[in-house]
Amino acid sequence: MKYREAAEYALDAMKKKGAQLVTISASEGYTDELNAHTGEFDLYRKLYNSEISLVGIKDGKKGTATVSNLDKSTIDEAVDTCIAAANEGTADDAFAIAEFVAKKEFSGGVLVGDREELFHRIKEFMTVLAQEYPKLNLRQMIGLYTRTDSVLLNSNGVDFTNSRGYYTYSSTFSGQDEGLSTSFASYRSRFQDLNTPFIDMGMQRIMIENSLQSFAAQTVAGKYTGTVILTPSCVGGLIGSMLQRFAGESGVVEGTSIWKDKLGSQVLHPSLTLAFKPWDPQIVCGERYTSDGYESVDTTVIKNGVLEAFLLSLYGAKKSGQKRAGTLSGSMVIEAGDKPLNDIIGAIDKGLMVYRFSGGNPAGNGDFSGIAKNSFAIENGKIAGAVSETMISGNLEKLFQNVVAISLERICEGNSVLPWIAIDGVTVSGSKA
Amino acid sequence: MLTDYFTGKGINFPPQPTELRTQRNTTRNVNLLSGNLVSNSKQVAAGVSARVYDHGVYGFASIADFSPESINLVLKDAADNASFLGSKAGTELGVLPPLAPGSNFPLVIEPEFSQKIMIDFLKELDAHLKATYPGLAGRSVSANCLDMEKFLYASNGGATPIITSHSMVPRAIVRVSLTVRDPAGAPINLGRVYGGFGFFPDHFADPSQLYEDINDLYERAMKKREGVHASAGTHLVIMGPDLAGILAHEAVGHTVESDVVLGGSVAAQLMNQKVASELVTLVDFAHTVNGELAPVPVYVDDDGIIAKDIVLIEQGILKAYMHDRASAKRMGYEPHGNARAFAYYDEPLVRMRNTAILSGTSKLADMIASVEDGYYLVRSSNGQADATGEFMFGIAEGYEIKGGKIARAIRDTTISGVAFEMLKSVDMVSDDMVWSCSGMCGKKQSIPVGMGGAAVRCYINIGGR
Repeated sequence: MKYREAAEYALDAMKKKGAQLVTISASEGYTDELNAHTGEFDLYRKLYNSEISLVGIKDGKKGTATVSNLDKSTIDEAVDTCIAAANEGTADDAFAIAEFVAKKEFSGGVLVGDREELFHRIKEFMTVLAQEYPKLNLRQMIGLYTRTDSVLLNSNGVDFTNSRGYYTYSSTFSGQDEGLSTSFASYRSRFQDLNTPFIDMGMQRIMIENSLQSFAAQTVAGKYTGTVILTPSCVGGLIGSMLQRFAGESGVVEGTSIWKDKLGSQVLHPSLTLAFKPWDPQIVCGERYTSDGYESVDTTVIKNGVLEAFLLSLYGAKKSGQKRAGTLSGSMVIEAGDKPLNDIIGAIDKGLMVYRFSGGNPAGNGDFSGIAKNSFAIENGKIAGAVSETMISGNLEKLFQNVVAISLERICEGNSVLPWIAIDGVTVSGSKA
Repeated sequence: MLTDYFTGKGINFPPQPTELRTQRNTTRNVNLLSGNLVSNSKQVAAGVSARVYDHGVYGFASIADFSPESINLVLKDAADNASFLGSKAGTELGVLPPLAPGSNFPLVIEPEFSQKIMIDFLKELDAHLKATYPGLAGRSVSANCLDMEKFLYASNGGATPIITSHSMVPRAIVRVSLTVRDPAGAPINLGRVYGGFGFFPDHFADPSQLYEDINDLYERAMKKREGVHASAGTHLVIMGPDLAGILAHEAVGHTVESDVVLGGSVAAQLMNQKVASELVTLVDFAHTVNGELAPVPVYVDDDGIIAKDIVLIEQGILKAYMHDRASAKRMGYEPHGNARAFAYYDEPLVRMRNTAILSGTSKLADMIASVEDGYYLVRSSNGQADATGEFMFGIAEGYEIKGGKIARAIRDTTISGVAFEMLKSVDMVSDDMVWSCSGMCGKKQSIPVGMGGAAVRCYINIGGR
């Protein structure tokens, strides 16, 4: 069956089997993926993708089943599995589905991929690296086009469809020179046309040049408390960890989050405003409807440092008595600051520019520690040498309370728009501390 | 069973070396969060993929269907994709190492069981936690089952199978996570994992069998509640057996995967050189360890290579890399069966299987007693490694060692080091060995792995205050 026919069939079958509330999500599409390793193409993949997910609530009890094949017999089995799971579950008043809204159809991106041009862009990228950066080892290069057609139907009459197509590429590389290697670095971006050479995407060239300036990386001397600048990719990871820990569903529902009573309160530095914005024009093929069955709505989580929303699904909202988030898409947009990056660097006497953070899972109270990867020392207002075996530690909440500057510049990588953020009071330690 | 779908009749195999793989991954998840059933799901990802080697490159295609028409579609697409790429950017790699003839059917048949037994088990376990430890700030009990069934047909070219292999690798895990509050009211979390190879009923017949161990977990959580921050810097530590397993995998294993070696790993320059103390021997086991089944047994890999153990480091000397057929050809080594794909739509990648630091002769108690001022690091939360050998692990459970005795617990922290420097500082290895039961390795695809080890004494960098 085609994906819509499969969804309609499953919805009807679930109701006939006794489910009072049903949500069905189904999708179909394909992926064209070109792979290269160490500068040579070695694999071309074509994936015919399909999936249908059934959520049924019967007598207040909920079950979920997902299968990849859309044929009738497989869906019949999935219906039985879902109903059995619901029968065996536990009733909870918080299990619910989205209310009726009028049918909506969405479409975005480029709906037909061009594998010839994708091949050309990857080949061009590898040629540029070989010519301009002969000491760079391109460990892996993946370019892909993904087309997905999807539908969400529920037993209240919600009917959303979405067709979208976009390109993604990722590169992983390190410097190589006479037996010396630099740390792996990687860069990825999502985009909807092939007009821009990959070498000119976002921070791609900066990351490459950083790699080649890192052969003599050294650990920092001793231990100090100083200022670090988090680069956009690093900002996204750390803020994402913090939000999951403090504003995420499990901590709010369980009541273990340290922000559970802080809605409307100042929790972070007043200069920070961040939102999830799947409708932002810079976000490529953002989410159009949530898995709960609501049309996605841009959602400000932190406004001028004040907590404006928890990241709650419909279940989490009903369970905690808080408001459901308009989206859980992860399309993070942070407002730009008022200082050029170079001015921010120029104001730091001793610190670090952190391009990647590789650390353990943060503790429940937000304490964290980890390695500053692909990173550089800042001394007397200038970028100094690359660092290795250097750890940073602190507390995630305090980290983003101690913001000293946010850059004017921001980087868009297709699913996020993020600035550089300078933060005071971070513990920096070398391996010989 | 997958063989029901695949008879070989009416299937048009291309003349090039080809792998055809039908696969079904069945995942079940049940999670009780402080008594609320927040997850109750079953997912089946099933389909067929074909991979064809031509002009020194691979073409691949997959679809979520087992019909002869779909099988022929992916075979044709895979051949066309190899032709497309080969015509534009073929390589001089040439003929791959040939497959040795064989059939393997180390199949474990899935017992019929209802998701209800998982839910009932967790409900009873959760009720026990609630009644026994009323002071908990939060509790999570979850069960995760992943059963991977594969049928592989591999040829050196043409319609005659050289390898046919039908395997089932089931894994059933229960996670228990306790949250307590520290004196300032901040949440402190500690968890433990049970289970391993097998189906849920194989491991989890009676929740009460876990109660004693969970009581130990609770006592440790209460110690962590009073815990202190580690002192940042380099310290003499005892890494417990659980941690040594992730050390074997993250810090060393990844650096000797052939794709990482070709991509610039520091290990590329170190073959047959001393990379560790002579107390360190590191092995990637295929399927059997000391006569017992390994946590993730692999008999035939997804390239069609019959899997064998491989000694990576022998008494401190780097002896081997792990390969798929293409990298083995490129680098002039023999493949040992390290090409593994997670789902039907995934291509095989060079992966570890069951990687372990072999046990030594020291007693763990003696090792702890030998440390005047350091740390005993027990469990990790996560880990990452780098081409340079630099690695980090999150530490979820650890203790100070003062005067040779276990002292205060430490809060969550991170350790880091450079693998081949750190391993040279190993001067004691314990005589026991522990396999982790829940390891997943992320490298384009996330896949189950076995990680094992003995406790080691070494110097390492700890993040802290």
